[in-house]
Amino acid sequence: MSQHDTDELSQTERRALAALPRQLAPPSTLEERTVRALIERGLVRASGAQSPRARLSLMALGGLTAAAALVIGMTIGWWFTRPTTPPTSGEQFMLLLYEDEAFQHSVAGRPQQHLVREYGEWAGALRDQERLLAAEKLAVDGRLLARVRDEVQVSVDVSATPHGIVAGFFIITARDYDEAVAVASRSPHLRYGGRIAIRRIEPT
Amino acid sequence: MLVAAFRRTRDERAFRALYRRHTPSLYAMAVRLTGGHEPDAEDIVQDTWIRAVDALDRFGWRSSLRTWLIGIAVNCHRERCRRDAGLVPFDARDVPDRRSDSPARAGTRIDLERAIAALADGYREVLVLFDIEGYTHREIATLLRIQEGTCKSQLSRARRALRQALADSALPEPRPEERQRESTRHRRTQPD
Repeated sequence: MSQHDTDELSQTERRALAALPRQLAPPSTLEERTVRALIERGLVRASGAQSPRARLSLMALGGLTAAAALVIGMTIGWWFTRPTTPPTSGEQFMLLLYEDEAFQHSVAGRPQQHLVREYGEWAGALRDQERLLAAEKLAVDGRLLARVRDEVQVSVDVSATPHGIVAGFFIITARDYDEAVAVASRSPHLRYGGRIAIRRIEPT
Repeated sequence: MLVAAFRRTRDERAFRALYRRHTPSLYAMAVRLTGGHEPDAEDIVQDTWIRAVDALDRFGWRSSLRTWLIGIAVNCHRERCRRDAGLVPFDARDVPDRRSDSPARAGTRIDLERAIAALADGYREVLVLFDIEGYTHREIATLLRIQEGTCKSQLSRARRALRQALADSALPEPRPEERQRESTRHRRTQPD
């Protein structure tokens, strides 16, 4: 008898699994948010619309992405250019803010002023705590270099990471990784599905 | 019929009819795949519909629409697992154990749902698809991009793990006199 044969289901087990419900009523909010997401992408025409909407082209989606990046960029630029007292103690950590498609869809339908306020409050708190050393927004384009078979090769695709593309960074002070994680965990970036990588800066 | 109507008009009303027909089974499966974590299951269902509607013009009826949707949902789930691999809760004390969030159902169904939710992701996927959703090993292998033999051995291990989990949850509480004997034996084995 093979190993697999000994793991066949008994009659009782088959009946128990067969008795499990195959359907589950989803929350009503799920239908509304799914419909809204499809309409925003031009995949479904809202009822009562005069004429069919064109599907969102890559450029239009890129426009929404640019709008999201603009919010972060405006926030970083505004807060960082205000006069600041240099932070004094602790280690330095770089916070890398990643965005992927899920993040871009998440911010796409939200009013910009709300996003600016949320990011601004977080960045402002970093300043008030005298933690903020630097912050910059990164452009969506970039270059990736690698040496392949004795030749340096260049790619314009810098987005190939599991977490998406790096949209910006903050350099902060914190006592240790736990404190840096506690600071970063309050960022609205996470609430919208973005990722934050934290790296300690080696003093040289 | 619903698909044809939606393809023709891309109308919200036609989509809602399609959604209401297929989402209850899609959602049930997504809840099981995520180990009972309903917020993640909701995200999977939404992502599934977005991808499905985007690709609907290319759907060629090589399978039923339900089978096709479930395939998309499984891929969405796997992508989430890959993306979240290695993450642990920031403060584990404040994060509820998602395995205990299985929907409450009467009698042995509660134990069985909880035991399924407590399986490792890979075991749970294969068990849900084969023993609950009724896919064949070949279909699961294609869906999960694994060998058929791997699927069979994963299923064996999943069933064994499930049986163990159910057996552990059914262990009776030790009687008071048994607890007393255990305690005495423990004291005797301790060095002076």
